[in-house]
Amino acid sequence: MKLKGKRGLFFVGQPHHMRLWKPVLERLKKEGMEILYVTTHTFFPFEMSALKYGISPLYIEDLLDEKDIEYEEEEYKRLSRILSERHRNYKVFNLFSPNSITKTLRHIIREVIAFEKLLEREKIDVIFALHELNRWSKLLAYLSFRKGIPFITLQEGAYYIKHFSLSFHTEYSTANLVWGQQTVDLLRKLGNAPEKNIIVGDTHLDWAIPKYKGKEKFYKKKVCKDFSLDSSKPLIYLIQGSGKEFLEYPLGAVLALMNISEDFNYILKIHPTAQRNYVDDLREKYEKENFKIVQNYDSYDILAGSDVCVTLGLSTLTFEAFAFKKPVLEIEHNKEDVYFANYGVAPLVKPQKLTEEIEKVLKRGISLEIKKNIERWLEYVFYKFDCKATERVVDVIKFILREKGFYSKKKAKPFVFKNAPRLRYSFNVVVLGNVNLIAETLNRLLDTINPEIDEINLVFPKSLRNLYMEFKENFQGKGVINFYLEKDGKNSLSALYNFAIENSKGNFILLFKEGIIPLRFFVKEEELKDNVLLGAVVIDKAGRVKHLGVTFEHNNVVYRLYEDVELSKVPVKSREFKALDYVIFGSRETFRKVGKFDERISDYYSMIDFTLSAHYAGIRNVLSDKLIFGMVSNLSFQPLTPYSHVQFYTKWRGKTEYNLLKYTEEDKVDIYELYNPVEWGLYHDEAGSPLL
Amino acid sequence: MRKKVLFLAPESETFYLRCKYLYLIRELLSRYNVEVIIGENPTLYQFIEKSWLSKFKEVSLFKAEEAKKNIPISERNKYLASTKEAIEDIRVSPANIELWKLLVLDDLAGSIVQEFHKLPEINEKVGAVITPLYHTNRAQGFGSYYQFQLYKTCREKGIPTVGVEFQQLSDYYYYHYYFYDFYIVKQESSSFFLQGKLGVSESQIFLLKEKYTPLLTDTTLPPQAILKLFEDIESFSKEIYSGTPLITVVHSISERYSVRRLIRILSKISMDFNLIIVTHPSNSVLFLKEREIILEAYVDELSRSKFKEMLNLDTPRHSPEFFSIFSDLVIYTEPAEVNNHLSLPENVVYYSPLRRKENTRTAILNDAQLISYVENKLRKDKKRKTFRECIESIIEEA
Repeated sequence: MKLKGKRGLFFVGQPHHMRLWKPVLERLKKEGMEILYVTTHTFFPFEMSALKYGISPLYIEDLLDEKDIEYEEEEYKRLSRILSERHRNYKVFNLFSPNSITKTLRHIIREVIAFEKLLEREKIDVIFALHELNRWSKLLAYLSFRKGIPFITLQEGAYYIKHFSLSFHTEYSTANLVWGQQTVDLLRKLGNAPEKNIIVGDTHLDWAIPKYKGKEKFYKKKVCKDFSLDSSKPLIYLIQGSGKEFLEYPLGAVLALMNISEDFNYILKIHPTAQRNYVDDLREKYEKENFKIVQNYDSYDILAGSDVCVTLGLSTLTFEAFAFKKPVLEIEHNKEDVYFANYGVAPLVKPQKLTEEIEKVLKRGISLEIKKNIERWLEYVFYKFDCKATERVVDVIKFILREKGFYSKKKAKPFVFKNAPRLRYSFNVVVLGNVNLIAETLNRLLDTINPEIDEINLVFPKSLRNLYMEFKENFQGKGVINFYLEKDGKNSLSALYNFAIENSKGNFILLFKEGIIPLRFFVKEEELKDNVLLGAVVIDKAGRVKHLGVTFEHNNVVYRLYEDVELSKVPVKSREFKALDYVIFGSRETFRKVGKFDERISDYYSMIDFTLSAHYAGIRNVLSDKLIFGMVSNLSFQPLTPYSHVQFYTKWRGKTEYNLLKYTEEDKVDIYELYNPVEWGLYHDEAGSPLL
Repeated sequence: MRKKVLFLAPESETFYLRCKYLYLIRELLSRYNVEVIIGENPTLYQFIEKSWLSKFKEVSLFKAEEAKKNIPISERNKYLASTKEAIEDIRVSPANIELWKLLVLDDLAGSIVQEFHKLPEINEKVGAVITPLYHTNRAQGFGSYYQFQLYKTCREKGIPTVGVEFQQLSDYYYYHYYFYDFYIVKQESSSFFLQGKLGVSESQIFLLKEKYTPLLTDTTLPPQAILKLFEDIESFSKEIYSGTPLITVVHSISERYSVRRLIRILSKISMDFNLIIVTHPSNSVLFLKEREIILEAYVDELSRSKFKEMLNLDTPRHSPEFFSIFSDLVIYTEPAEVNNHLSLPENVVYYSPLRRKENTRTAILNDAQLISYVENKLRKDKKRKTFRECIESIIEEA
């Protein structure tokens, strides 16, 4: 995949946004991509993150003209009126001062206008931002979604707080490239789409580990010199959690309890989000000859030079301390907030006992058991330390661009029907190899069809040739059942569906997999004539409703509606969707209009992909209350490509928003619940989950 | 029964106005009991106690002590989720994006009030609650949050809330002006603005007699302070009195975009002048001091400009009179800092390319205006002389 001629847009935010993306952007630039650095005027000087690297970003405000400013004013007036009414009447707003909203509201409107203008003016192939969790990148993500431009994010740091905004990490992104399984698990718990999270590792550690490896002594000397410390003493690195406003960590109280030894040097690193005045106060109170407090000094220089790390609260830097192979102690201040010790990777120490514990670690090192735990935990958190995270990120980007390019040119291939339509219904069953399931499906179908005018087609992939022969032999003479073997060796479900459709002799075609059986089948021919595909309600063996339609949830990923109750308790009614799954039923003419199933799309999504295409070709997808099918067993498939989900979401970018097309008042409740997949109660749990 | 009036003493206004608003309160005492609410700021308390409590013994003081601090993450998540629910149908044009996604996800999380303060007793004896109509750049700290705690309670109990115009109202950031039952303003233009822009009815607005305007207008620095500041800038005297015109830019962290654009435009002016930038030593954003931000953030612009020096002065930015004494031209980018003065020196202007609507007497609103204004000013100033030059000319003439 060549990147020459491609244009990427990077949103410049805080310094760590740049730090994590920089290696990737450099690599992309090297391979020919042009990167447009964009920022906005806001309270925190975002522009400085880029200027540090000699890059002058484009300010979106530069794009505004007189007309835009007039529009901004009108919108501010309109929204101020509506919002102030809510602000007065909702109790929750007691906690938000209008004084703090007044500026933000103005800036939001300005940014909406300017970002939209930017994307209209510039030809952009892909957009990068650290995440979609602040208002700027959320807006960019939203606009890029609307315009079908891929939007790629990374993990912001170690995630340990179940914060509200983390629930919206994958809403508009095409892919979110994360460090390890731990993040995928946490984000999933918070309602994010696992389909969009791809594990790649930490791009920052890619260069940080080699930079410092074997140079620990050099950095210890450097740091000690910079802070006028005696470099012959052990250097203890105290790492503060992420800001007093986030974690309520009683730093002052802990420092007061801590016993500070004259035998060691201490450097306390304050989180970059803490206010300068707060840091100045701390300095005045606690700084001594061998106890220094820093905020704006290279964290990794100190980390490399330190002998022991002590974590006071939760910080990404502590996670990285483990990656730097430093012994870590966790200060206990409140039993409920213990984190690393719960994973068995750091001893828990009372502040009063710190000196003794440090001495122990310096003398004996950390225990074998902890070492083993760290090894497993690091893999869970960071995946790999092979310095190839950047490469993996670039691979995903190229993959997405390639897919985008592919789908922007290609159209669905036309079906080539092998037989003239001479029957009524063709029941096409794709065989996956489970004899019992095939038998169940066949038995039920034989009870359902009218043998005079309908047919049953069993379609076997080439890999099941023996099974095909066996079935063909056993069922010989039963004219209504036809057996087809796909001889080209295409194993994907899409290819088998295409094969089945092209061999059908019916005027109307049904498609489903083995293990799915018709239970109620009351459709009349005329219901299928008018540019429509019908889907079925599916229940499981226990009679519980497993499928009531396909929609897209707040992450814009596939969401199969279901009610885990008996069918009699669900008021089933026909409803229109953008896509269908499990069973589709339509006229030969309808299939012809849509064109073939996309054989590049993963098996998981083949039917959804097809019906989405149908929707955009003007075909209505209706889940019919006259079609009820049973699911004997749900077989899963192997994805066709390593990033098959991403492939699907790249293809359909901008078209996977909530899609229940004609909903009733009752459905509105469903929509609401669908839109709030996170139970807010989750946040009452302690941070993190049991791992080892 | 004498009704009680609650008056929220604004910290910033106490500083800028030097408690002149007390003369407003004094007028109420003959008819009402007045309780002044102040935050837990010992310096302010001492100042108020010393300077006026002894004079107005009838005024009682209510110290709004802190009641609770730090809302845990779980609670904050709940508030944000409920806020989302309350406004999720509101969309921002032209992109049609839901407002909550932009408001709640990031900024608002940091705006949740973290410090709660005790409220005074609010019962049927309270006739009204008076709070300032803050200009956004002064809406900081205790008062700016507390006024809405007061507002909510009063609304529940049917007690009228009154917003008083201290600083000239902003017609750029005005969302927070929607929240009062009555408005007392000092100028007619404010009344028209509230009616026209916010839809406030005329009957809710009271226009103060002009004699009160000085009480609600910033007080310039006392002469001693000015002398002290002159000592502070002595090292720049060479630049100041060199005869080369001097342009002073009063820096504003929140208006960095305008400052950057201003410096770029000034660098295009071919006429000779020196440029200095004024900062305040205690201003910072997170771990960066204002001075550090300037040196790093405008590195490109400064290298191409006629920038001479940075004055890190411990003086209020709202002292255009002071800056105008040693500058040929003073440029602000924050309108509120120049708007609240009875009269402004001729050589003070403000430049704001994004705020076409801000109500001010001295606005330069776009780049072309700025260039022509500065060039005209410098051209005219060429005809003027320094004090020394005048004397020299006179002596030579003689």
